[in-house]
Amino acid sequence: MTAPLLEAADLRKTFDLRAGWFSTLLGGKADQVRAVDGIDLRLIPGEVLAVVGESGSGKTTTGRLITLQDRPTGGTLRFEGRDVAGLSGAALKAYRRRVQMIFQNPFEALDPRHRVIDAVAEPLAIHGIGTAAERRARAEAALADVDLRPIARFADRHPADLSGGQLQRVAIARALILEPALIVADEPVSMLDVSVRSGVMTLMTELRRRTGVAYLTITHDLAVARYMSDRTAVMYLGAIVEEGPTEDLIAGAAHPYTRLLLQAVPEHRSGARRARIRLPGDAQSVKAIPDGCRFHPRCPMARDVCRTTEPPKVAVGPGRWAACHFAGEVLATGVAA
Amino acid sequence: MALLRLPDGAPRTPAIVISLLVVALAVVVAVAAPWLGLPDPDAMEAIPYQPPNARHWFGTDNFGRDVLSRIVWGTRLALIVAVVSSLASSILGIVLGSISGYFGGWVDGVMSRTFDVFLLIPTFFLVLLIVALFGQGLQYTMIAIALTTWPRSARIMRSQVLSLKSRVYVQSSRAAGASHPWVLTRHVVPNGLAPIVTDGTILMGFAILTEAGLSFLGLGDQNAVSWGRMIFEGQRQLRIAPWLSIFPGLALLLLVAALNLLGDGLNQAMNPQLRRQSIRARGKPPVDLGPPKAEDAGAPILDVRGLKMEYRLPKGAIRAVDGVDFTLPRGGSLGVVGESGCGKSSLGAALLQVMAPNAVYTAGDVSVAGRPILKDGQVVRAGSRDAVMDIRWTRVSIIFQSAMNALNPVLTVRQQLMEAYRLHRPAEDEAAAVARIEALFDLIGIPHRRMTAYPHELSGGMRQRVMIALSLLHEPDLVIADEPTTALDVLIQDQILGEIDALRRRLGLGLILISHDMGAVAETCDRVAVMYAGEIVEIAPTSVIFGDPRHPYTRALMGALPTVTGPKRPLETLAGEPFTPTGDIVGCRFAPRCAMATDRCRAEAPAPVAVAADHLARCHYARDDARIPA
Ligand SMILES: Nc1ncnc2c1ncn2[C@@H]1O[C@H](COP(=O)(O)OP(=O)(O)OP(=O)(O)O)[C@@H](O)[C@H]1O
Ligand code: SF4
Ligand code: SF4
Ligand SMILES: [Mg+2]
Repeated sequence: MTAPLLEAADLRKTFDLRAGWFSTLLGGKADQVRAVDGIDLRLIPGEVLAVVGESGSGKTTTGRLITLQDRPTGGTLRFEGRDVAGLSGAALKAYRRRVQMIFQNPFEALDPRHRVIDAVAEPLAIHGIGTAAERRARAEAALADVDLRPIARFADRHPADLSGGQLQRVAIARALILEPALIVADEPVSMLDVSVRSGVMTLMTELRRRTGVAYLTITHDLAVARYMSDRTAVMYLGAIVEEGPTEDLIAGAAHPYTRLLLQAVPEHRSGARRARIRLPGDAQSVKAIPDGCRFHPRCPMARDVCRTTEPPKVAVGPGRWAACHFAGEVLATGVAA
Repeated sequence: MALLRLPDGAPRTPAIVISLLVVALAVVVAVAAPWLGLPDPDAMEAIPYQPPNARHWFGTDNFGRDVLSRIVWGTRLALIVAVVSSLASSILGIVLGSISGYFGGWVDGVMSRTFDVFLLIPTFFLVLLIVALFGQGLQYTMIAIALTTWPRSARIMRSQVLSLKSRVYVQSSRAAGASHPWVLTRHVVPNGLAPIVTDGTILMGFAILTEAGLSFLGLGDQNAVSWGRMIFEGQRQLRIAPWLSIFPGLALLLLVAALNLLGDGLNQAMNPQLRRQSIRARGKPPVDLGPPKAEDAGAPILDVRGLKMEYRLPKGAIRAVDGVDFTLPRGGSLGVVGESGCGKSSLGAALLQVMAPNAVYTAGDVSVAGRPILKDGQVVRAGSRDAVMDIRWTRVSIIFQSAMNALNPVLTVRQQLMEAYRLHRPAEDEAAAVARIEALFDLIGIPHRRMTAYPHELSGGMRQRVMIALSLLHEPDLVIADEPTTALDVLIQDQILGEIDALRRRLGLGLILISHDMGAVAETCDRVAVMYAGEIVEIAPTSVIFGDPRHPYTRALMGALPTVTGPKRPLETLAGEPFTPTGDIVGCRFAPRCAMATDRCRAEAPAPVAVAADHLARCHYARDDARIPA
């Protein structure tokens, strides 16, 4: 077994909602939001793991924890064998050199005042690598790597002059320039048009083949996960509810929530009207995570045991598990109401 | 002056030009004072109390000093005070405001309280204190002004930084390993300076006034030539020698007013919201076709012929809708797909004449149920109002892109629906309105008790449903929905689309669904129109668009779609950039990105080719099976 690149165990992040001073005075306690509620993640070098879920499921917070933009409030986070959760100063800077991030909105991810070439070279400057001329040369090479050619046409332009797809390529070049071991990509293609989306997806896959970088790709779209990842973890209300090799998981999900997510992906065949299962209410809020199975208020299969007992991780195949009392049943026959 | 790099669209209004001239004149005069050949401002050589004359243009004062010369030297003092004190004030404000905003928490708490305290100290009081402690002198005046005005800049900077620090590009730099000082000096502060700079000019005016006021009270520098002191000394002789105070007073007024105007102008020029320069365009005059015809029951609900609409910009026009034809039968549904900027929303807005003020029709006919509302690019009038008014919202309604943010935050959902109902049916009684609204809530699946909620109390999905309810209020025959679900969660999006679809079937509603989501369209619409650069490049029944697309653009879109069903196949990619339809267009708009493009494509714009009776594709080779790869 390959030594893991990244390993999170029981990772947690709780945010305090600020209580008004008046209620504090009266002895009220601050509300807490359990954004990430004890997740385990494991990533080997060069692997792509997709974290899939709706907004509010905690996937973005997970990405922020791994890049140490937020600090975990519980659990452990190990990178290349070392505990990194508490890093600061030079060690933190060194970590950030190894773990880079790509953001969702390419239109906001670049400083509007800086030229493209400077944006790509900035990480080198931050880490004091090379002379200005060397940095420029490396940034130009990085632009070529993401197919922004002819380079001269892009290097000296400002972000406002580029399209979304081009901007996301710049962001990818910027993330790759430090030759990181891991890139956390938060919804890297969700803001892009269909016509450019596949280009960026293909590019990221190709770059991984060439450089051996691992990705943690955060997305709400299972179809994107399918084309970009080896393994998929499905998150719901702060917890991973199912995990497994992406193709297996898409072919036959073992958790009702994954099944529903899959059914919500529209078909691209006309008249292919799927049987929609109507979920009661909107997405639940992480402010009040239900007892028992956290999905039970919306689960079409919920039974009594679901309301009282939190389901364990049930193994359903090689490298696959689902946190559902009836995982085997779901895997075999799908969701029956 | 990179800071002041004015955007291209900076307004060059007369007020700004004049104020710039006044300030420039003041600067020139101040710098050149010693070389202007004026008498020494302190020399008491001339005869006192001379009114303005050929030798002394502005007269002389009680000591026989030349007033013009004193005003010119006073400009020097005014500008020094203005520049030094507002610079000191701004720098102090920028540094402290940035720190306060960037670090937040208790740092911010303590610091913003400090700003408030300093703002409360009256300038004069502080000056009195400083003068009492250190004696009179220009430097103390400037220090006092800076010390009482910096919190103004600090507050502006703080709020700038508060919003800038959460920008993605700042986070991105941090995530790449940058330190706090790095992101502060490179990304946060430079992007937040614009309003400080504009406020600086206003501050300058204030500094000049304050100095004048202090000098007027005899608290200024006793040795300097100051407008304030001139006014003070002059007003004692106002009756016998009015020119002594009038001229310095005018100079003061002019410079301060110019600085303030300049500040306002800069502010407008730098405010991105005010920046998009558009021209309020005038289209063709409306036509009156007389009283509306009786409705033709056999006519399609919507008929669009050669519709052209463009946005007028200073640099030229964008032909956002550039010759669109289609017909929608009653109860039919049409999906409009295409990449961002292809003109989908513009088309939706153009159908109902709800466009941006800089949009004009240049051609085309639109009729609803057989009644024309647009003819030859001219808005049709029916009696005293536009014909569209009779059908908008009652026969055809529109749900705008990101409409869920369009609800009025201070009214409950119920109040808003009631208002909208009353607008078109003022006569009906309360009970009927309530009944209708309750029925709508049932239809869209929101419990009645949620009716009294304010928009912010509802989730995005609920708000979007309310907007759908609003669009159905008057039982229209056709709903135009522009990206009704784009901002929502996958599951919610799926449900809302399901609801729209079910309603459509139940009520026999026509639907135009504008979306970049091919899947959503595939499932809800009978026909699909693919737009590219303002044109419909292919239109056909949904099964044909997805099963046998004939336009290379449509084919590329289909091949680029990732799916979760069927075998995993490699995704196709589409190189190049979308085409913006401006100026003269030669050849096929898709040619630069088209794998099949030939010389003919680059020379000759393709007309729509009928592939089948209900299938049009705007490509020279749409029927050329040999060229279209299977
Ligand atoms: N008020 C306006 N003034 C000038 N140009 C405009 C205006 N509104 C839109 N445009 C331009 O018109 C073209 C079509 O815009 P439109 O909003 O219709 O596209 P869209 O297909 O709806 O895009 P999206 O998918 O992003 O909503 C674009 O080039 C756009 O920049
Ligand atoms: S444990 Fe029960 S409620 Fe939870 S997902 Fe499984 S069936 Fe549904
Ligand atoms: S006309 Fe030519 S360039 Fe245009 S889509 Fe057809 S083949 Fe491509
Ligand atoms: Mg739009």
